Amino acid sequence: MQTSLKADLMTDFPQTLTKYSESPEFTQDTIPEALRRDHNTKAGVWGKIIVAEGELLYMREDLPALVVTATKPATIYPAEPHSVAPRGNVRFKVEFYRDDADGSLQ
Amino acid sequence: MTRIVEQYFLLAATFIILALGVSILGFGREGAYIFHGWLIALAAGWALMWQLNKVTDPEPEIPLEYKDDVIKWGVLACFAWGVIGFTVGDILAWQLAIPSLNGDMSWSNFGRIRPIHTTAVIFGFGGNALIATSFYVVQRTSRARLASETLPWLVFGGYNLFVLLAVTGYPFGITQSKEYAEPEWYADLVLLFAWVAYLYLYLKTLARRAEPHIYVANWYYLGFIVVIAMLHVVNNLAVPVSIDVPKSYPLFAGVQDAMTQWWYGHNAVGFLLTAGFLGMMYYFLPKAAGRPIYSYRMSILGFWGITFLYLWAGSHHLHYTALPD
Repeated sequence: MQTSLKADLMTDFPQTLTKYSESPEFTQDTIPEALRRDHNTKAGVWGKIIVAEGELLYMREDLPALVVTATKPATIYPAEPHSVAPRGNVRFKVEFYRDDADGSLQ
Repeated sequence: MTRIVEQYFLLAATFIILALGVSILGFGREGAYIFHGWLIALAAGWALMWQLNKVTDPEPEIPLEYKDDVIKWGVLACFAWGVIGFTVGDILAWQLAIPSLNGDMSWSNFGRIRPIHTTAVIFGFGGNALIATSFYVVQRTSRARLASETLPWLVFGGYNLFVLLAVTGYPFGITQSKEYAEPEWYADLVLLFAWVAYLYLYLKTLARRAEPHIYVANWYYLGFIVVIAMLHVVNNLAVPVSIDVPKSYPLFAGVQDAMTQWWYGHNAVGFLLTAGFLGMMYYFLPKAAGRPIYSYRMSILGFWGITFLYLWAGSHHLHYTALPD
């Protein structure tokens, strides 16, 4: 997969997904410790990191860290281990998506 | 430094190396020296054209992945120099047992080809292994891509040009007769440019790290880069006789020159063959074992031990020599 550091990492995000949940808004002081460590979504669950203000470092296995900003949201891939870290002051939330075609939203 | 400033800075540096090569091939009076002028001019000319072609390009899209292409070439160069260095070492071993195997020719005698073996193994094999693995380790421990798309190639190319100049000069007697620092002034200048670029690239990549901590492997690699820069500059302070010939004379004389040379020689072992490879081990050994290092505190103690204590013990290489008491 060849994505660009300058791109918003959203080109891989499937258009068929449906949002079903989102996290509260976190700041650099309220990021849960579990998000700072490697963690992952369940199989079939995608996420979008939406930054309202500041910069968030998004770290995935065997890849350089990506700086997520208000103009550059990022994709969280199903079941892929990842973590985040604030770079200065930041406000962000995570939106969760899944494919409703498989009936899992029922 | 912005991308544009960096581009012009690199163009200027490459042009200086090109001018050096053109001067040598134009004014040189010895065949091997003129050949070196051609090597430098061709390599720098090619690098200059490659950079000029990119000046007007729009800012490239940087892939979200580690920059590993130059590392693969570094490993290949490491293997190639290893094969050359070990083969020449084997020939030298046979010459020790049967001296007439030198063929009674100037270029093939033990004194001229022994430095081919040491340079190819220490700098060609070992140096490329260190540069390649340092690029690999600094990216992964910093979670950052190398800080330039151009510089890694110039570092790799400049460094290997230096090794090539060194080993092709020895058979023709181009040497300043300092063990492990044999290359003459113009090859030393090529290495100086490559090494400063290496240090800048390494520091800039570290500055872009996403990890708050600088892992100890990077301390050892940085120790290796900084100390080799210091040793190389001080031990190779020399005045060229003329641009016509490769010969130069060291700035220091007698005892001072011997002391400087073995401060260098001692620490070439201590910081290239030890500190650099310790940096490599501090990353790859825990990775291979799947366990963290036994004691991080001890690794730091070891680092400052080698840096403060080992660095000043070079004079023991002059025991039982003509050095006055």
